[in-house]
Amino acid sequence: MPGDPLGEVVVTTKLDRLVGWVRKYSLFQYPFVTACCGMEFMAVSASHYDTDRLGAAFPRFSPRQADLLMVVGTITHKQAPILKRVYDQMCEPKWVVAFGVCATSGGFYQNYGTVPGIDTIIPVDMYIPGCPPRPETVLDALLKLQERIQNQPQAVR
Amino acid sequence: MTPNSAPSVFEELKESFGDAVVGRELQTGREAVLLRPEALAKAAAHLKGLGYDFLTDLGGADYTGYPGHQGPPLCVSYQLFGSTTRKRAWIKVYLPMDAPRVPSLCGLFACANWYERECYDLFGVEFEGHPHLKRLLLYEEFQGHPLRKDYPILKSQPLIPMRDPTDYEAELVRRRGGRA
Repeated sequence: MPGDPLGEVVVTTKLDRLVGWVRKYSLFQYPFVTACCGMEFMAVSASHYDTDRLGAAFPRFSPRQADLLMVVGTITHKQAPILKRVYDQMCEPKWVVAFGVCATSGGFYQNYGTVPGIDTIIPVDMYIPGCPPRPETVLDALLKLQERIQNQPQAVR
Repeated sequence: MTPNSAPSVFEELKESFGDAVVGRELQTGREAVLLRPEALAKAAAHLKGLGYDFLTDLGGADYTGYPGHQGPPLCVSYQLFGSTTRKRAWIKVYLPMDAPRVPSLCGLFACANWYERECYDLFGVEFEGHPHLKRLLLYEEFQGHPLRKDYPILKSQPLIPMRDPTDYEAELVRRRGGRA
């Protein structure tokens, strides 16, 4: 606005948008790594692809410090109560990413031991298909998750 | 293949155990010696004395409905290896579906411990004399033995109640931060 003395230093926005902007760039993830997708996850977290440059995946190894639960690999019925407990220990707001086809749907395991998708245990925000997923797919999912976090109503009031 | 001059595992066992050796099977170019379960412990000790000092594998199988299979359906299969002779021996015992019992080889080969627990877990074979026969892979609450052919192929036994992932209304409420 011409002639506005504060135009250069003041940005107006909505509280929801501001909180969303802060939250989407400070995602602390808890990696729940159970299977071979973990190798792919390490590749995408490490310096070559580096999810943290997006402000989207700084690993914390305590669920109480994390707000993004990355479920990487096959979840068995023996493991399911542990996953549920880790999810319950995380503070709101929290998001869940199902990394790879096993976490998404059970993948090619359809048997006595495997959970048919972690969404039968905990709610999931983003599904990443692939066995294992390409790093680009993971980055795409994280960007989409950031977009969703930016646009969702923030429970701050 | 075994050279003609040396006796095969089948011949060696047949000589010492006679009727307890019930037959042999040729599979994938190797010979399996079929034993009565009650003779297994002594036969394994005998083979260990002959230099087969390493139990490389122990596995179960359920031959129910297998083409051409006769007799009791459950099978426990032992692979032995001689670390100095570099020879291998393959032992099989067949067991009935109800109350399959076979002597444990834990006293003879320490590595049999977890193999036998796995085989008990998935096939329900009781290894008599095992020091700690409980499930190895599955959880204590699991009912039945899932690799048996009579276990329903899609039956799972969840430990915690499973939610309905297709409850999209609840999902939308959750994504709005709990606001209906």
